[in-house]
Amino acid sequence: MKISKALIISILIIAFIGITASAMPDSLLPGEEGNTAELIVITKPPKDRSATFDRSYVISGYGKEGTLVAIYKLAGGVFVKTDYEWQIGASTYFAIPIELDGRKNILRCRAEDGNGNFQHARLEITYLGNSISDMVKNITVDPSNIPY
Amino acid sequence: MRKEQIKSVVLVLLILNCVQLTGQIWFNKKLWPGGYNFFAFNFSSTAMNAVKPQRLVINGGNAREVYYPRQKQYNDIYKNVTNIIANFIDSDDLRGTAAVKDDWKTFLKDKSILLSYGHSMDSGSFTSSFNKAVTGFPYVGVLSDVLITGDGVTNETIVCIFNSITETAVTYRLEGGGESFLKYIESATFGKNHNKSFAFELFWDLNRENTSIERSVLVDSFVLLPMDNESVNLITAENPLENDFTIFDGIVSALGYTPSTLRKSVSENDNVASYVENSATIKISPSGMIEYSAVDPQRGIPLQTGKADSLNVVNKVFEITEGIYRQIGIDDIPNIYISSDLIAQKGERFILKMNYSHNGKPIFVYSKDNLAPVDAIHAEVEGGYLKSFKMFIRTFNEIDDVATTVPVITAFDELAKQIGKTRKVLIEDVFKCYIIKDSLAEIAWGVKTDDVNDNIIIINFDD
Repeated sequence: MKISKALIISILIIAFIGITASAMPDSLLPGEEGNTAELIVITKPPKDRSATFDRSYVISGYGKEGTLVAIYKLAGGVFVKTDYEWQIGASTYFAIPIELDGRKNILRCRAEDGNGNFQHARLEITYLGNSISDMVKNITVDPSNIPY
Repeated sequence: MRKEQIKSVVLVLLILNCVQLTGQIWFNKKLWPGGYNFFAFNFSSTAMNAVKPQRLVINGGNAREVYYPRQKQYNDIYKNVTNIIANFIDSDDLRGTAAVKDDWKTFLKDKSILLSYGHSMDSGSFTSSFNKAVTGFPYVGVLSDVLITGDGVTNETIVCIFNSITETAVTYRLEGGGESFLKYIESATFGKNHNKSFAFELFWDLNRENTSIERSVLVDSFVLLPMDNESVNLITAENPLENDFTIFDGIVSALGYTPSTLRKSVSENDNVASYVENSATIKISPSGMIEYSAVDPQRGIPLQTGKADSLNVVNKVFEITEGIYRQIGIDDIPNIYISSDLIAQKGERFILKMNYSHNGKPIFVYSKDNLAPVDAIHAEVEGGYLKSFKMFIRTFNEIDDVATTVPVITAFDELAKQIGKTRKVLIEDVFKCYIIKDSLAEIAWGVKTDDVNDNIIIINFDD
């Protein structure tokens, strides 16, 4: 009887450890590095530092199947986890559409598999648009009314 | 005497006319206006939609929109680019500059309008689709896409022709109009979003070294990837032939035969009506399948009465198709697009495939006895004669029910699962489509890969 109880408790502990291991931390310290570079390849942005005129931006690339990719934003000296997440499927591709906040967006991309491997990548995306270009978004123009 | 005088006057007029026309030839003045095509087609609206680009992609730098035939924005933009292309075709003194793949990528990212035909065609078919003769047209060869942009510095209008088979492009510069064209694009993309990316913009087409990540699904540089989830109205399909045998004779008439002169029989098992004569057989099934087959190409339906080009064949096949719909009493013919290449091969067999679409989304219709979708129209032409013609007739109605597509990467994941890890495929195109197995359509993703010859892999999550 005692043995079966111990077995159930052990299974629950192992399951709990498994869950916590695959859960992304809520925040990351700026200097925190990953323990692998083999989980994902970020293709866009193509460099650590990029600029765009569009407030909507897609962070994309490819990686090992089953890897969870999450985006963190720098806030108050730490990188705070956002809702932007992607679980990589069989195709290996991921594309995470994000909305840029201010002019300079300092982000951290964290990839994690279920085996304790995690990878960090620092991304700096500068938004070059302005408030006027934001205002005109979604205003519909009828091309037939455009003199040409 | 009076009769002789009239004869003399007519003779003198004829001689004067002869001298005048000869003078025109000597002084190089054309006998007909520029761009006049002796073999201009009178396309019906259905045929005209089929020969137009399957999609227009307007790139505003920071915004990108895609429009499909029958959309108002499509018609407005197409009207504008038609004028530019008409001028381009008439400009017989232009010299093209070969462009490399990276140039084409730059054009696609900059302010431009892309006419994507969805299939390859010869230059004759391209000029004919604008009711222009190919004579003097500077581009010779096969093309699949045409892009128009402007040069803000020189004010030139740039037309770039792309061949997706060889992935080569040729650029032409027309005098004037460049600045106003760029302004037009800016206005037409004003306030629009950028939620569709070409694969090369995400750098998915590049292989990174020093990585252990193996990809079984590769994506061609020019695949346009929608990054948003779209909600689309579903459609229903109807078979207009079901249980209506009275219209079968009318269909035979639309194929150019007199029903009373053919031997008619109806099979007991499946009620398929067969009309037989010495040179051809016509079979009409209540399932909606209409099949015409000539015993010998020379005894088929003659198609090439004018200039021998593939668009002439398209036009004639559409005449038959529209005739069949009219005989059934349907005036609102479904949108039909060309799904095979239009490359003329003199004296050889030419296969023309066409399929239905709704709001720019192809409709793949399954017949009851087929596991794979059947083409709406499959025509085989040989030596200018229609040797065989198959049509799976349907009509479609949009309903209020709405379905949301899964993200494109989820479709790629499903494709990767289907193909397994032992082989690799290159995705050449991906698009949303309807699939119809019963009467109600489901929304799915269609994927064209390099692995299957012209077949589309349907990724459907409802199975």
